[in-house]
Amino acid sequence: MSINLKRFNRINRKKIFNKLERVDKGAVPAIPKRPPLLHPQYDIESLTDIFLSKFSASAASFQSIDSLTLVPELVLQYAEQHASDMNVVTNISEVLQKNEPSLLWPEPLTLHHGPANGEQSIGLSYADVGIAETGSIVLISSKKNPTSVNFLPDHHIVILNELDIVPNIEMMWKKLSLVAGSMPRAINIITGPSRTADIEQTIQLGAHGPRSLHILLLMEPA
Amino acid sequence: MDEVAPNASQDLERTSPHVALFVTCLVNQFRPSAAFASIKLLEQAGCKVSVPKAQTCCGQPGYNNGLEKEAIKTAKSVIKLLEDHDYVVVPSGSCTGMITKHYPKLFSDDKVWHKKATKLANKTWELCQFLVEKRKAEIIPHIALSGQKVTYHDSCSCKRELKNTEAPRQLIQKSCKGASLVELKDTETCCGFGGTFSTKFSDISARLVSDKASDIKDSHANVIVSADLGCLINIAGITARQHIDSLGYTHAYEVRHIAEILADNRDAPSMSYNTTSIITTD
Amino acid sequence: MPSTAPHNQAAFFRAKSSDALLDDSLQAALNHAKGGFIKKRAEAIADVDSFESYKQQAQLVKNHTINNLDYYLHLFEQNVEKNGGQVHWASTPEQLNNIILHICERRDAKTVTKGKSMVSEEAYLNASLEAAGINVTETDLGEYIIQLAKEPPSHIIAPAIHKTRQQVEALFKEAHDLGDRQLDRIAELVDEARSQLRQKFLDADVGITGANMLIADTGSAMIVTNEGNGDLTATLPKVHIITASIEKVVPDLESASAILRVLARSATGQAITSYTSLFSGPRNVDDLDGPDEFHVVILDNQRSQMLNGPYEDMLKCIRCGACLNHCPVYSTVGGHAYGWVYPGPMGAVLTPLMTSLKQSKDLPNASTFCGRCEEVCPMGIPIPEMLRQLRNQEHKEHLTPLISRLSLAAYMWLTRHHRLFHWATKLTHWAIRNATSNSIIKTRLLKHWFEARELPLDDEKGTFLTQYDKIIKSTVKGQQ
Ligand code: SF4
Repeated sequence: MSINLKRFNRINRKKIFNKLERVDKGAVPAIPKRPPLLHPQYDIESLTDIFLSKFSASAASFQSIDSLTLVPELVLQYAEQHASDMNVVTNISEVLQKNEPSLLWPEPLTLHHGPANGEQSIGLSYADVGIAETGSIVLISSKKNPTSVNFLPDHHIVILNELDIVPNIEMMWKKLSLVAGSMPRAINIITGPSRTADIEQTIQLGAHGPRSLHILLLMEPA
Repeated sequence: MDEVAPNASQDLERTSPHVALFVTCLVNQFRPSAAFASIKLLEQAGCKVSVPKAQTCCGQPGYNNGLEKEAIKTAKSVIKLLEDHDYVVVPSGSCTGMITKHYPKLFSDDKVWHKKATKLANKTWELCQFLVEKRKAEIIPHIALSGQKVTYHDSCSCKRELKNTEAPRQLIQKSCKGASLVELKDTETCCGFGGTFSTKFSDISARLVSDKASDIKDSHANVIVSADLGCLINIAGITARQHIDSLGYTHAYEVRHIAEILADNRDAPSMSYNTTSIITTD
Repeated sequence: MPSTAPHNQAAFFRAKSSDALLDDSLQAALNHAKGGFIKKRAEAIADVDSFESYKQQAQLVKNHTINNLDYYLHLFEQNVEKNGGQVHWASTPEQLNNIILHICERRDAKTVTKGKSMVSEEAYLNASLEAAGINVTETDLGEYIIQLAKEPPSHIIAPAIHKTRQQVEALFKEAHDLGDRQLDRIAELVDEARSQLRQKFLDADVGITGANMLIADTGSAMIVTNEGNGDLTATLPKVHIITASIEKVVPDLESASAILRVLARSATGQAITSYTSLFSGPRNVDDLDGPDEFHVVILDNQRSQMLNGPYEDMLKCIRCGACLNHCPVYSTVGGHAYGWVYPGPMGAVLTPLMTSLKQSKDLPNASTFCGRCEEVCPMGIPIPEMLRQLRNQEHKEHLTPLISRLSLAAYMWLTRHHRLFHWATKLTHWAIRNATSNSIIKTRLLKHWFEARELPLDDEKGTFLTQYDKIIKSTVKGQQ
């Protein structure tokens, strides 16, 4: 079957829009003004606490760290405890190295760069934002965060800087200041590991995405 | 309610208001004792009760089955019949909802009748809600059900259309001294009657009411009351079938309209006792 | 297309629902599911300060969008193009299939992975892709199960809710080469699906997903899932096609946030699902993964007809499934009885409007009007009122049985003629009193009704109004 997609589209588009133009359109301004919306408010002082309480409800785990130098060691520990091999896919080692030139990756871990391909048990990412309201981390697709790293490995370890936690979902969008035409391809708001309840309403973790989500929360030393 | 002028309503509260009892077609046909009990309760609450002779049915069967035009005509005749009373009280959540929520909707294109319908809607009350919320009536307690376990089944119309779940429970607790009010496990789910639904999809309806019956069994209640006769007919039918003795009579449950136990007007047999004509199916 | 007509079984609701009541494993599955969703939703909304205000915000968004649908669809289209994607328009399900087939053929696609999309179910897209020799794999676990079973979904968010674990095990044993591996635990079943589908994700040429919302302001599609299959489908293949419908558009991300707040709470009782993802186009120059083509196919399928009419509110539906979970009828007969893509209360409105009222005339009647759907609907859609409107339409179009039309009309006439009404009431009273158990009414006309019920007259004295009349007369006499 061969159709002229362009022509086809033009015709259908017209058909649909003809029906959508409302009869009483006269009263509506050309650029409609969306009514203002309320957002849930949270105490700025306790964002980390709110984040952690929501976050733990999602069956994810966390450790707090006060320096990025700890990351390689903690990834190794996590791998030894949970993962079936020592392959880590990450594209943030340079970022880490830049902040902490002394940073060294311990021997048994093998680091892979680029997108994940299903052969690494651990993905390591750096979250762009955290959302207190929902206990979510947000990852934006880029050279440093290919989306496949968030979904293909069995375990996902994500670094989140406490200072990047915003109160609610709206503040997250605001912080990212997104504009059509220069959008990142994918933005993932992640809240806990992959799960399904499709068989007898019983929750099982690790449906298709990571079986576990572990957050390394970078907190300023008190 | 909004449209009754405050002065007028205060006046009504001081003196004894004229209340028209709209008994509903089901109570008229199947449960006269509920109507007599309602009169007793209203009189105890200081009302002058009259029973308009020309009353028939609120028209819901037609309204819910696509006969909107017919429903409009019937609504007009009900409005004409009832509009001159201070209040209209109905021993049924479903018919109250028809008058208070649906009559005004029926006349959304007709200003004159919409106003009349709204006026009637504003002075029409379900019995329990009227006694508790409007009259703040002191109910006369009795000990006839002492030691019994009473459960109140929320009809969907009382619960959702009228937001009327507290009044009936309060009344039972105040009037039935020594009885305990027990709750069903699930008070949210419909008993499956749904008026003509029970004739159109008898098997689904029967399954729903048998689920309700097993909740009733689990609650260990032996007196089941509700403010809607439709639910009661449904529940009486199934509880009777589940507890039939060798003579074909059942004694396990006493199923009644709530007004009957509030007014201690229990001379009529339980709705589930009347099982003489049960046909057993194979 | 060989698709639509033969799959629409809505005309058989009566028979299918009766069968469903007698289907033991279906009843076991439904019983198992009963209450779970309800409890989780109740807990989730109790957990926030004011779910009512969340609902209000979400409804503000939808009301505004529905009033300006053309504007926001235009804007969405423009912005998708700015992001390097393409928007396609389909008036009918067949057109949606044609567009997608065309895109697949252009890229010479052999395999397609799919995330859950109810819009693609409307079009029976899988059948049309398969007919063109393309291998389609549903990747949502529930959808995968029913694809193996060759069944349509029975719930809009839990497509395999009607299957017991034993049935799933049997399906996997038949479809996968298991050797002597056992799959009696749910965890093993989930793992089995995970390992089977892994390679499919990696190999697929085209990924097709649905969308929960289309964001006009940024030209993005928002996809809400728990399994992560949607994200894998959107990320690994070379082409990502999104199927959506016109009412999915919202003005901007702030609006989307208001809807997110009620969506997962109403659906699964979560504050938010595991994955909420925003896809805005093909891969950017320095991206390391992602598709190089991004298409959004927007389907109308009768929706534009609902604007400005009595069913307009239905366009606010966010497909959360709360009305299904709380519906006594749905919970008793399951989704397949409804015969088409959308079951339960929302389906009883949508199926007649999107297919044909004549073919689905039972659906608007399969409700007790208990009102729970409207009560739990995050969008406050007055479903019972719409079912009533559909019943009006059925009456007008003479789709109801003649006998019930006539008897209801006669009854309604009687309600306005009180003397005759009371005479008829008395007659009925007498008839019930004297009816024997084998009267024709009980054994034939309303046989099923009387199987579970009686018409219990409470005494020998006749109707209330007769008795009351006598009392009044005698007191008047007594006073004289
Ligand atoms: S009608 Fe309401 S409750 Fe039902 S699926 Fe749509 S939004 Fe959810």
